[in-house]
Amino acid sequence: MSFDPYNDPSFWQEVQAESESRRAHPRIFAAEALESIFADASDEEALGAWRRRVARFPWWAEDALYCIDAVLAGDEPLDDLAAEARLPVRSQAVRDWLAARVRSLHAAFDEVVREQSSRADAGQGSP
Amino acid sequence: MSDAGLQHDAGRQPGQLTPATTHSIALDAGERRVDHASTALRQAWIDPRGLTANGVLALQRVIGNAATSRLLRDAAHGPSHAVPQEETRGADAPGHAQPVVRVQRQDHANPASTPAVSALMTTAGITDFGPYIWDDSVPRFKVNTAFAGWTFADCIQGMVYQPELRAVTGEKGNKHGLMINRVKAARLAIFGVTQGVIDSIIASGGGAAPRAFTTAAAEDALNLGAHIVQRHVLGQGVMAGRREVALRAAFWRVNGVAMDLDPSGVSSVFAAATDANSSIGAAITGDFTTNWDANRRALAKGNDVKMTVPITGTAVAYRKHDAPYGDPYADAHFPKYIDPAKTGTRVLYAGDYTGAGLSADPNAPDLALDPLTDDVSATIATVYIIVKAEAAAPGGWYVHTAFPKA
Repeated sequence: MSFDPYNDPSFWQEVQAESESRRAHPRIFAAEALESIFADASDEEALGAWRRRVARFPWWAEDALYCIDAVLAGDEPLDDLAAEARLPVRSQAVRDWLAARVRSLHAAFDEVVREQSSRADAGQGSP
Repeated sequence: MSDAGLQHDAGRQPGQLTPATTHSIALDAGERRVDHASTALRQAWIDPRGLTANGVLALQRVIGNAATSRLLRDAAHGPSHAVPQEETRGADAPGHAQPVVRVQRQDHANPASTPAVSALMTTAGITDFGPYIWDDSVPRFKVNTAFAGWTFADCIQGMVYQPELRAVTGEKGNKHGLMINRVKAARLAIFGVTQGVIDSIIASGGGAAPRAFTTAAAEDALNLGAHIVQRHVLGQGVMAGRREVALRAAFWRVNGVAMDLDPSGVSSVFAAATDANSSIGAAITGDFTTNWDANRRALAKGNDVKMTVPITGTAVAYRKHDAPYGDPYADAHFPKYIDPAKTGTRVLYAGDYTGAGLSADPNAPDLALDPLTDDVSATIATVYIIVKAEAAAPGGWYVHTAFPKA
């Protein structure tokens, strides 16, 4: 049997269910996403990888933004989160460090969505 | 005014009203409004296509939104889609003779489909259905399965289309659920065609098993963001020797480059590239392959596959001697035998200092003091590996990072 999840409606149900689970507990996925985006990467590398991820897995990327935004909006200390996600920053600097980078992630997200939609409109397909 | 003024006869045709309905409106409403409402009601009865937006507004004022909605729903015909007839029987006890009620189901592809729909949508402020159709048998919006204009942006959650943002009188259903169904349909359409990472997975032996792993250096050479050899192998890149590993444990900084640690405070590297290769290779042929069905599905979703597996080979590791381990030493502790501009008098790790000693070297450490870090290589038992999905990588994935972990 061939591997064809993207043409299987149940796969998208699964993606949606996973998304709802992540958003219900944003702290957990925020740590996972931050490690995936920033650990072992320079800012430039992280942003490049992020753009590829938005283009190929927009559902993952929008969950990441949602959960990171939710964590940033809270007043919980972020030091543990930074350690868990292996971020190159600690203590009081975490919130500012994260806020600045999340702005870049949002901007890149919007830009990639616009680009990909233009490509689709022009008949060039998506990612 | 309640909806009670509208009386539905089981045997009537959709859109027909009983005389009692119009009569009750005439008694209850002001003269001018009644004129408009009566005209509209008569129009709905005789020819629903002749309804105007003003007529609908008059009805809403006089008989209420819900009743107007029901009236318009019944009145609407002239389908823009197929119009199946559904037979619905009454809910009384079996055995009673029940009249058959014919419910007209209509899907409308645009806000001007019929005058009645146009009036409803004008009131709601909806001028464009986008990827939706209006099903006035419920009434509700639903995703148009024939919609062919999906774009990447439709795969993103968020209320953007007018039917998602604006309520129609009497509309049933949940707007968030509507949007979620749209997103699912768009993802199926967009990604079902352009498979991305799926194509790469399938290109490797049909996707039945993961592609072979060769070396950490080969993963790094894909230029997708992996730096396994440069950052996690002794004698390579920034980890040139044991001193660099210990500096990271003590100060979370090596040659000016910040290299933070997790709360364990352990800085570790593979003793050699061959140790990295054997450890990662064992994980890929073992855990990663054994769970391939779940892993390739996770990769298809864009999720990372993270594994903590037994190390196959040797690691070199140091940990800060003084608690708390989750924070680096202050800069004042930096050994002055390494940097004469600093003031630290403790040796970085036992055996690091090979100079003449305090009697002949003003920067020599006091070897009677504890070293700043301890060799904890023997405690390293596992390797932490992250595999990422990537369409540009052979097999649809690559090893992003791998390092020894206590």
